[in-house]
Amino acid sequence: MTEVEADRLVGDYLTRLDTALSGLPEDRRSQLVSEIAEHISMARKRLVNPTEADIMNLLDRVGTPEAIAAEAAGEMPPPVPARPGGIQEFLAIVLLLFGGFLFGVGWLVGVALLWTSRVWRVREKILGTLVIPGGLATALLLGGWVLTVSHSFSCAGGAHSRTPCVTTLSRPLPEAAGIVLLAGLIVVPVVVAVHLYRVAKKPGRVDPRTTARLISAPTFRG
Amino acid sequence: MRRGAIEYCVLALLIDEERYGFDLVRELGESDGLLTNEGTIYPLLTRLRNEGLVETTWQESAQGPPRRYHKITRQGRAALRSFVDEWNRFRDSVDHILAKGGAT
Repeated sequence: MTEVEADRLVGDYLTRLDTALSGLPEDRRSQLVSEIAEHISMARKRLVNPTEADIMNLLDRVGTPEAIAAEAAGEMPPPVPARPGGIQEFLAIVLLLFGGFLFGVGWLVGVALLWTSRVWRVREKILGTLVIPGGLATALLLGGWVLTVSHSFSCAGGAHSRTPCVTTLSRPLPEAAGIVLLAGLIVVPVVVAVHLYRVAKKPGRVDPRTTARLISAPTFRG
Repeated sequence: MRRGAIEYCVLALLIDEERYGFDLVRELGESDGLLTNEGTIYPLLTRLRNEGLVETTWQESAQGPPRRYHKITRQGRAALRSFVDEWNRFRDSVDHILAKGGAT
């Protein structure tokens, strides 16, 4: 048997293998085919002047494409398609932060997008909703209030008294506390937004429904 | 049963040295009836790698293109140890029953 004829037999086998592996992700499939091709070429090097039967025996030992495909289908973990966040998740984060400036309605839309997204878990949705309702608009409103200085003018002894009149500056909170509160109101929602963004971008974060479908799919493993 | 046991035979072969796929196939093939489809060793190695029991690296070879070498991990050694315990118990029980039934 000539080398060319042997090559043709092996080539036919690899084509059948490639077809049998069509259920695998493309990169995994081409990797497996190249591994088997390498295996066959190493096995062939050990044969001196192989006959057609020798090559056919060799391919028999490698196994039917179906047997290899069945084994490959059981590879763990199952090929879970990553479902990173898309436009909905991006919009949700932006609206949670800034939507409050759109008469508060924008924030409500953000919450709706957050809860209908299939990327975040309930824990993260609760976090995104409660920290902080209204987003940065709340920070601005509250911050405006805590830093407001109200003036009160009082003259203890009446207008003709010698006691000097006093102007009292009063704030709802001491100035330092007000600044800390304001900083917190800005930083905390931003941190939560960054967290939500990172979760949404994480590869492998999948919709539970997709996972359920993959788990119930037959795996061919004995 | 054979398929499950082969995974641990592969781990056992990797205990002392790194090997490449063809080498593993040759070793397993020397034991009668262990490996009927040589090609299935490659998906099996991928599974072991995905489970963290084996690590795979490319290494230059004296002849031909670089080869994938497989190496057992600490986790792989632990998995092999617990399999060996389980296997010994299982084998003793089966031997015992077979002997009692006069099958051997």
